[in-house]
Amino acid sequence: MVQTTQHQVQLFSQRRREHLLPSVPETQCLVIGPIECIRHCAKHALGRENTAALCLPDTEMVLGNTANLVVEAVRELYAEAKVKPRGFFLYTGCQTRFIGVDFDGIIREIQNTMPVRATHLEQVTFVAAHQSRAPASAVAESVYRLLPEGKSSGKAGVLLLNGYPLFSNENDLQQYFRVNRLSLRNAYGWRNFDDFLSTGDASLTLVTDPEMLPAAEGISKRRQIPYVYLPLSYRLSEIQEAYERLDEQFGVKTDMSEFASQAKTAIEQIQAQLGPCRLALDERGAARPWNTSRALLEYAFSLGAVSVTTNLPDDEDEAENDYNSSELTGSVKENDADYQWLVQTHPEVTVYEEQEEHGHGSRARSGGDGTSRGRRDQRGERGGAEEIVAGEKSFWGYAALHQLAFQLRGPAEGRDGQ
Amino acid sequence: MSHYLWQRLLPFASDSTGVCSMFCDSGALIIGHDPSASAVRGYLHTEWREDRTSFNIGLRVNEMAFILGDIDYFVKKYLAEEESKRKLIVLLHSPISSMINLDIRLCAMMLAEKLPGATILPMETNGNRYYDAGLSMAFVETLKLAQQENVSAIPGSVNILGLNTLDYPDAADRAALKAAISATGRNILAIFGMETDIERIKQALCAESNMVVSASGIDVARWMREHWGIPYSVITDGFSTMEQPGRLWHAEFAGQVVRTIQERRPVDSDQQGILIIGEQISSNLLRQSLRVAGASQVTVAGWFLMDDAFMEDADIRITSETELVGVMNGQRWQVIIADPVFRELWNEEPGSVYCERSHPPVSSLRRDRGGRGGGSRGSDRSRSRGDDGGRAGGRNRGYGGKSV
Repeated sequence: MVQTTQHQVQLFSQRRREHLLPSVPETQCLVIGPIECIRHCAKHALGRENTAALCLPDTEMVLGNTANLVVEAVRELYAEAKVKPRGFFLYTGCQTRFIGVDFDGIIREIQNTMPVRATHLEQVTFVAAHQSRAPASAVAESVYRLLPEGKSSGKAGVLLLNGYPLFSNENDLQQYFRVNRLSLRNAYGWRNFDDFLSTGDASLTLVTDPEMLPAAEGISKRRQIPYVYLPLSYRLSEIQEAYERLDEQFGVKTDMSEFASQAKTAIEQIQAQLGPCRLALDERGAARPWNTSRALLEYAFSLGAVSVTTNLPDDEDEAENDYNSSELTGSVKENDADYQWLVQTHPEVTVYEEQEEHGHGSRARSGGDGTSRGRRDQRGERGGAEEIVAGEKSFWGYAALHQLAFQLRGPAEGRDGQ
Repeated sequence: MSHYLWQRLLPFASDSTGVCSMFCDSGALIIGHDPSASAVRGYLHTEWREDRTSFNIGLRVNEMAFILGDIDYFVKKYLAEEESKRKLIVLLHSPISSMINLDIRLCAMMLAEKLPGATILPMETNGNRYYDAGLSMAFVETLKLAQQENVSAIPGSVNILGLNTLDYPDAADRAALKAAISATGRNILAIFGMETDIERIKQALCAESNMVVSASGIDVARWMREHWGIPYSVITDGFSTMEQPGRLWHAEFAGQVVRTIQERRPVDSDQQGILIIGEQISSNLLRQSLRVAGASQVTVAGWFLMDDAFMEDADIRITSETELVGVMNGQRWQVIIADPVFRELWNEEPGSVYCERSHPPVSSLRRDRGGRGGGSRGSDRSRSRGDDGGRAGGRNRGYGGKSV
């Protein structure tokens, strides 16, 4: 069976979150751009089944031949494919954006002349350099543009748009749906293209990862499926609120106290095992590092440092510069209530900010906004704190707290043994 | 149509990779004009060298800066770079700055005014050509630095044109090549392609002759002959009288190939001939070694610069993946000598042999420590994997396997 899209995430995602997207079977990817960008950006994707590149010289683009060449390339790929693809992903970069290629028209042409669906993703490094979350969310949004426009029948259950696959069938979220006899469809592991298309008949989209919000909005417009955003959390109170909102949504009353109790017990056990240990949090595994930090502090852990990656404008003058467009929104932390809480109530926590770099390594930033900052060192001890990668395999809900507990227990008891 | 479509291979290293390669050990600051730095990153992916002294960066500016083309803004950004005090600064066009026609030469001029004493070289790369075009362009641009007045030829001096780490990835081969030229009694004045030294480049026009060792050096050799009367020769010209090239890997490798042919008789008479796919001049050098070792029918096919003057009748110029597949499988070759990533395009037959000869612009081989390695001697080194783990067109197939 044709499998395409997992590597497409790697293709342009600045964060290299391989599992962000579901695999959409029976689809083919065509990357369009100059030799240089494709060799650099698509090197992990090309050479696999069902991914091809179209290297268009700038002369062809300037002369307005792009649309014809793209459609021709898709026709050729379709004709030569042993297993005929049902969908095409067209990925482009800066050049087609600057030159203004009509990809809506190209997609119409493809869909009108071939028995396939097509979608387009424009990944522009000028934007990506300043917004690390833009690419992943844009990729996710583009996937669901493969769904045809129309009204959902609402018979396909609830679609879960999450940043990571569900690792366990026993987590609290799935238990919640099971108890209430509701169908939950995970946005990973579609059996075939028809299975993917059937998500267009979901009754509700549940979003737990902020990067999936554009996709949910897109689905809402395309299929008139409402969505509810309940971000992944490590705070018991926030999790409880999330379930209450779900209860309201479905008109049920669900008792989740057993999970809450288990989570509290697990946290207490870890605190006993760790003792007065100072922790450092690495965001690489935590979807919401500020929220996780707040949860740790609320549970009376000693948090020494938080390490995050941001994509702020490169220099101070750029923020004041006329060139700074609305796309350059900078880090999301300023709008994050948990971040504000951390800054105001725990100024002793050091925040290590690493700026995502697109060339030759990384640069650490420093600057005062309430938190003390330091240069990000190699993984390991930071200021006497043990490093914890929290939540790498966790999911929204009480199970996440179990996962957090599991991870926290690691340094004391050995991660492999748990 | 297929001309632009890549279905099984990764596009090869672009012109900016060639430029970066030339300046990698010059201590230059190399600035690519896009935030993702695909220009300089492309080079780093192709050729990773710990002994590199250049500092390669992508300029972090947004698209509006390119659209408005505000040169003052760009100069300000250059100067803001920590490494901007370097003596040599190379400005590389990215595909987008090239297409939108940012005046990179004016950028260089204005930067030069701010940094007296520094050498600023603008390179009009566009990311749509291959590495050899970038090298060729870099040769011409650096040649503009050459002192053009009061030039008098230094007897016995020679410039080497096109000696670079992409076409000659093995340091021992590069050393042997230089030794071979020196052994003819000539003093090497300047090298175009590596070990770029601006002071020596400035003396390049004092050379009595030029020696071309890769196709990227041909254009600049002709230009110097036409404008300055400096004659040139190609490394293969003096092969029969030059003893030292025999010490290159070619001779040993050629001997192995010919012995293999003799040991493995073809399954039928249709299966014959040796196909070399690679850079033109070094492939011609290998062809001569094969002939010295006893091979008869040797064809060179090239995707990169293939100059008519150095092509034999049967030689082939390849322009697309489809054509490459046709060349490899259209005739029943007894031996194919090519980069490992091309192997999967070949329909292997009993009695035939695929000899892996790595070419970094194709397979992105990563250098071993110290700059040596890179796998170009058949069986042993060709198994080293690229920095992309062999995915660059290899469809997850490793580079190991049958060699000579």
